[in-house]
Amino acid sequence: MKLKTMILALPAWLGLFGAVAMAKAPVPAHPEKINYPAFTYELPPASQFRAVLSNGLVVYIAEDRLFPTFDMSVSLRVGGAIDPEGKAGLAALMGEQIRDGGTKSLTPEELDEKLDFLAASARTSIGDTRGRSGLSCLSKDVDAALALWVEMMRYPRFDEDRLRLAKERRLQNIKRRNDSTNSIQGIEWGFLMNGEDHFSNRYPSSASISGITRDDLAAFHHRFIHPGNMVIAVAGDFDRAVMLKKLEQVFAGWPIGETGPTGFDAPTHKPKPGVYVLHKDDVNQGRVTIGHKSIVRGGPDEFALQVMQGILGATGFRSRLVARVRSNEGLAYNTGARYEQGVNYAGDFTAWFQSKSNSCAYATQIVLEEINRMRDEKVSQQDVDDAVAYVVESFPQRFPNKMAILRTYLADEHTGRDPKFWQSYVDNVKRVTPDDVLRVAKKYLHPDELVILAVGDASAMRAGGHDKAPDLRLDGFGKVTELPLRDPDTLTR
Amino acid sequence: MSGRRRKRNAGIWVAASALVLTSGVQAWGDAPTRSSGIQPKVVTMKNGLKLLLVERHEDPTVAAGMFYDVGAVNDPAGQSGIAHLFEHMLFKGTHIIGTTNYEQEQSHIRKQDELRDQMNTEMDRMRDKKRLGEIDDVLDPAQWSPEYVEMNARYTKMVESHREFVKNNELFNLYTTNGGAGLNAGTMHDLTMYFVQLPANKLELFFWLESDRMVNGVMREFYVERDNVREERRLRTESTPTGKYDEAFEALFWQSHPYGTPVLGWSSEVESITRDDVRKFYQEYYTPNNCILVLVGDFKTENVLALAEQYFARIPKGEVPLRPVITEEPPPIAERRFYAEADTNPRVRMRFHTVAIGHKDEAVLDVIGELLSGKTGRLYKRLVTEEEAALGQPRAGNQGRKYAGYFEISVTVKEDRTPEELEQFVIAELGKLQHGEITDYELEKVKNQVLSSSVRRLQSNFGLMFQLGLFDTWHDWTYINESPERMLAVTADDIHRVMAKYFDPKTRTVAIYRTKEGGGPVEAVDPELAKLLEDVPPEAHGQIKAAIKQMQSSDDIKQLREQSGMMEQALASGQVPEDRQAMLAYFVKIMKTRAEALEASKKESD
Repeated sequence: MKLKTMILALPAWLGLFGAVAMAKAPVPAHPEKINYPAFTYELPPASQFRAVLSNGLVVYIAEDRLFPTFDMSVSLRVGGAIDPEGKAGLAALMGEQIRDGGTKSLTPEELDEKLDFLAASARTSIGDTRGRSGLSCLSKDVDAALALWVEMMRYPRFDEDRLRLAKERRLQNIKRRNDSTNSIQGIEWGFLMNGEDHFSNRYPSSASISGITRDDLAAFHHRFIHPGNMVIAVAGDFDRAVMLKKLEQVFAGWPIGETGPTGFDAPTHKPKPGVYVLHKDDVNQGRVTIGHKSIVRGGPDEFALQVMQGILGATGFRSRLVARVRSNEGLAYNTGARYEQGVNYAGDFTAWFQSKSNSCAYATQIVLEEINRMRDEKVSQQDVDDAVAYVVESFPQRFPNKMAILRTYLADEHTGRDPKFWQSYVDNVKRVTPDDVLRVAKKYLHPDELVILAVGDASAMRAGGHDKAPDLRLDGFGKVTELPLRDPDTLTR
Repeated sequence: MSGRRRKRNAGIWVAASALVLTSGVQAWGDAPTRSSGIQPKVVTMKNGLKLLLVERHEDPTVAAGMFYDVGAVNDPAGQSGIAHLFEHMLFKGTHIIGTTNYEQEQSHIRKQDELRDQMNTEMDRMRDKKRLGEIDDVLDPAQWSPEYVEMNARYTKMVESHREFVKNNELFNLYTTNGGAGLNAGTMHDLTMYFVQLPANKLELFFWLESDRMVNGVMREFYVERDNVREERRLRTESTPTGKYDEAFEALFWQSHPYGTPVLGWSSEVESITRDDVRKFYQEYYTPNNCILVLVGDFKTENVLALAEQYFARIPKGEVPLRPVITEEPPPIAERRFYAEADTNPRVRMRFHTVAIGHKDEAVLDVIGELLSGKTGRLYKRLVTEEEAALGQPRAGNQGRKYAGYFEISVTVKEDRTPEELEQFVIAELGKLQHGEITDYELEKVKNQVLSSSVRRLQSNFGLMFQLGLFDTWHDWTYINESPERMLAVTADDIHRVMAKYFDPKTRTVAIYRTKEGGGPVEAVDPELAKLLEDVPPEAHGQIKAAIKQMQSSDDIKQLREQSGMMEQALASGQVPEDRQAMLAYFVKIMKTRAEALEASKKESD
């Protein structure tokens, strides 16, 4: 901008412009002076959407008529956690092949063609503790698409050729587990926290994948994939009563079988504090994770812990870790912390960053200082207010559409959380005080139990050499164990 | 397009379009079959700021974005990455936001800049030393000159004492404590965007903060942020399995166009951008007439127009006319190839130069992408199901950018096959699209998908806000409605014509990624061949493999056809011993595939 323009613009910046231009409101001197219209948001209760079909299937249903579309989301009570001994990967493979392997009356190619011709998307995937399925189409095609979905879920063909190709793909991808520091870190952190034997660390190997047969898929499917293990959410351009009738029809006669897993074993492993370093060739940035085991959700300190994690590292740039590691020191593009409250068993507390090899030690020191500070100093009321506002003010945005509301209730139904949880959520978060934050930090953050995992150029990370802390080394934070990379197939070493 | 926007300056408001509806979306009939599109209210202010507004009252939020018509293509020579680095700086506050006392702060920043100038001079000296081989890393503190070490220590102290004037991340905090979700920004080659989703009652905050940072930005904490941007580059490019190679591939594909330079910049250049450089960049490109403001969600248009007047009318129009990028890609004169060995599955990427967004051939290229992609697309059927040579779904599609575009096919290769083999299959399939039949069924299937996605793409406020902003910056917002219409009109003849025009295999750029195994490339053997070889005495294996290699590399279509014809005749006559028949049939297949690929490539170039 030229000087002349700048000067001409000055009256506006001095707040004079409003007086010159008629009927224009003046600009408040600071955004804090803006008067916002009142606004309250109330999340509609689960009961408004919940229906039960005659076979006992729970359906969350909402009309959403702005667009001529139909969407269905299904939660499945099944998971890799119950893969039979020696068959790790069975549940996941079965989930994929329900969609890919054709149906009783349709070859895989025919099923693909029919869905693609309708421009419908049918999806199925199975994780460790939960499976998911879904269907999306234009509302004019809902009958045909639903019929295909039911056929696929109820009568999968598990075509041998498709199964073979899927197994070959997995066998090849298994070899790629050590390609990125991201993948190495994710796998190793799981082992450090939950131990070698926990189901969450049971990965498919070439042996387990090779041993899975079509009969295994069919038997597993027969046991667990039925309406008794489903919760369903549907939203779109339909009449609620008509859609419920339709769902009654498509699920009619589908027998209910064995109940899928409802609980999952907690790990018995006790993580060993210390510094663990894994070397990866040809990278100039280390990936560091610092943390320990946390707790299960639903306890008396659930909301205070949320605010605590927010102040430490989960409110973006407002958080202490981002302010120091990134904004003040320029050490990392990505840093933060999370106190995960597990659904089935204790989750993990983690803080993380990625930084050039020689500054990993310096950034680690800052993260440790901030973890200790949460325990040593009471946070300010402003800290709490901001962390609470971060969560509370954006609460309506968790639910940008009907399906987002339904999915929330669907997940709660699946995991057994009180459906009223969200109705009191905002008030519960607002009640948290600085004293609460200090109390839970002292109770739930354990600096003496911290595990530090660094993946990258091992010797450069250990050597340190940041210009602000030239003598600081990773070895200064505890006993360093340099671990070789795991065999990507068996994940043993 | 930016030139056109700048011309609309008569009157306080100039309605650029009569497409004004109170609701952005028309009601659907009983049996809706196609999208009737989206009709935003379009208004251009006197200072050139353009507003695209779509009212929707279903949910109490507004998706809001500022789209500046500037990106990495505008990075000046020697300053690659500056558009992106500047995007970071706009989060650092203004005269009002992010400071406890701007008056006093200014003198701190001035002193920092003076010292930085001296440090830059010393850094240039160290670069000279690096060129002469006296040091090997100007960023390694252990190799810094004593002068630089001393100045760096002083600078660090200055930054620390400056901190008392800095309100850390105040802009971020104002947005997020007022319910701003998804707050972020993005820099692309042709665009820089800043966006957030706000509760409906907090929309004024967006006008306050965005009008403020359009002109009042202060480049505080600049050198620290530059370090973060370097970390972003390490994270996204340098320390990922294929990032460095993907970047090199772009540089190979774009010979003259700035699209070949990474948005994140070359590291040596990002590391040397100065605070003054970004100030200049800011003044040149961040003007109301180089920006589009897009809102989608729960607001009243009349209120928004009043807010726009209140907050943005005070900002003068930029005076320096901005010119579009004039550099054009020269027509490719030869095939370009690139081999990488990386920690990744083997992969082939094949690219052709095509057209910019909105070009009359673009819809045809998009349909071609659809015909090739997906589970029922031609590439999946051929490469995954029939040949069992590809791993997972091949990807194919056209990407039309503001100034130019490309069509890319990307295939992950099964480890027992070679990327080169896959490449031949792909070329054969492209040849079939150019010369062979395209069925009505295939076209109808693609059109059903176009109809479906033309509806789906409008559904989320955030998604629609992005599309309106992107399309209007690059071309015109009406593209959102017109591109599906154009795709629906594409015929088989169009496809044949466009294939002939853009897909000459001789002009392709190919990247082949092989899995790094700590040694050279692994010789892959087709499993079908491996099985056939089980019945052949080991001493003959070498000869057979050599013969196959020769067939696969032959350029003589006539000979390939003759030889394979003779073998077929021999097989049909029953003269071939039973234990040799399968191998002979395999030879026939290899030669036919090769001939097919060569014919396709020949027709392309004819």
